[in-house]
Amino acid sequence: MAEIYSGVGCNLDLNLLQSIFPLLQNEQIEAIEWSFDTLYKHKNVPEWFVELLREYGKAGRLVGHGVYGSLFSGLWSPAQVDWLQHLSKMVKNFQFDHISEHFGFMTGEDFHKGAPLNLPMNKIVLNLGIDRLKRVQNIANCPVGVENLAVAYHWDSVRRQGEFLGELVAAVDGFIILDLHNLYCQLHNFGVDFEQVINAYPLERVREIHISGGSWEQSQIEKGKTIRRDTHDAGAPEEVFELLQKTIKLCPNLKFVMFEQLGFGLQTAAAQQVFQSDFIKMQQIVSQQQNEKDIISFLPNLPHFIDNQVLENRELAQQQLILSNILEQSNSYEQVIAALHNSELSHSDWQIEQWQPAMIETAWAIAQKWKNGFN
Amino acid sequence: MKISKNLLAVIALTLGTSAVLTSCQKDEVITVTTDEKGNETVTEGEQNPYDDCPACGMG
Repeated sequence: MAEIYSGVGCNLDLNLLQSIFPLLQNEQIEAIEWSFDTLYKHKNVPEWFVELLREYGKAGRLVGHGVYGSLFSGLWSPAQVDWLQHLSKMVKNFQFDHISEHFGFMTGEDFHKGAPLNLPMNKIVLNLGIDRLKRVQNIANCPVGVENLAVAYHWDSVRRQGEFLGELVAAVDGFIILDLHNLYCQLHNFGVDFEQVINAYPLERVREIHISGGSWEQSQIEKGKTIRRDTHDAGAPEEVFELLQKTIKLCPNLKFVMFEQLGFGLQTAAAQQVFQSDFIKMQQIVSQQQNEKDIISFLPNLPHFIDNQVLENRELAQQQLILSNILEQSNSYEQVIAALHNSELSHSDWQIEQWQPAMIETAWAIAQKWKNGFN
Repeated sequence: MKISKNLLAVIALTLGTSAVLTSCQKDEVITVTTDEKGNETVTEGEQNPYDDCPACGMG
């Protein structure tokens, strides 16, 4: 019988570390998820942080979670070459139990300034993703996975995501990170039931679950409609804990459940206490539902055979650039709509004709927020 | 999971003094650009984000 570990997303952030510390002292943090590519702004990384990661790594309880890999970009940029090189250094220095990235692509020309956006789930994107995952896995030499994305423009892209991620990771015998707050956003934003979405996921491939919080936005376009956003800046809502309760027993190969929150939402002692009580609540749910049998390894025979040339698709890259530019440079929702319909995204696999107005508005808001960097 | 008392003590001390980002000194990457009027702009830090440090590449 394999244990399921309750852990936290732990990065070098004062507020976050202050929130986590009492849990560390009480030996409650069973695993750590570290975003190994987010320290690019830090000139100094303290030895104790390295030591902390190494202790969890040696125990098989450290997982690496990339933020800036943008594995589904049409082109493979020099920044992504650097990202892979950085990953190869990280896996030499730390013992990761697995490595993951997000589904989607990052807008923006600057590698660290852009928004994570959804993209068509077609054969081109599938092959591109498989090629990049194989490269990641050849370097990481451990299980590799992809996290579901909250941002979706229409119901069909929500409905398709589970199946598509399954197809994608199957090619590397990989796993899925199921972010339940992302799922919660989709359930609310598209008014669908949990069963309608969860049953589309190959749940035997879920190795990690994320719990986090977010925020509400009032749509200015669809009056009276609220949009749930995956902002990671608040405690987890009760509904997400209920989703956790329902989901754990459906995932026979689950190994980690991670609580994620960004430091800027943890500036007060009260917020830090909410973080701690949310973590304990999550841990209590997890500890009641352990796996009934051994879990699979998610580790294929390595290395994968890959071409020297990274797979790219110029047409997809062009379309991603067009979408990024429209969302980042438009001054109004009306301008976004006009530009989209006059672009080559019109009547393409992007299916912009089906995009819901409030979700276009949300994608525009996200792109505006991220275009100057995420702090 | 239990972690060493020494490590906990160091973390506690560091968090208590708010000096989270100290140690592991590394030369900064500094770029100086000059415009046509001769004004200099100094940019530091992000040009080479991934280097040799075990955690961030910078140490």
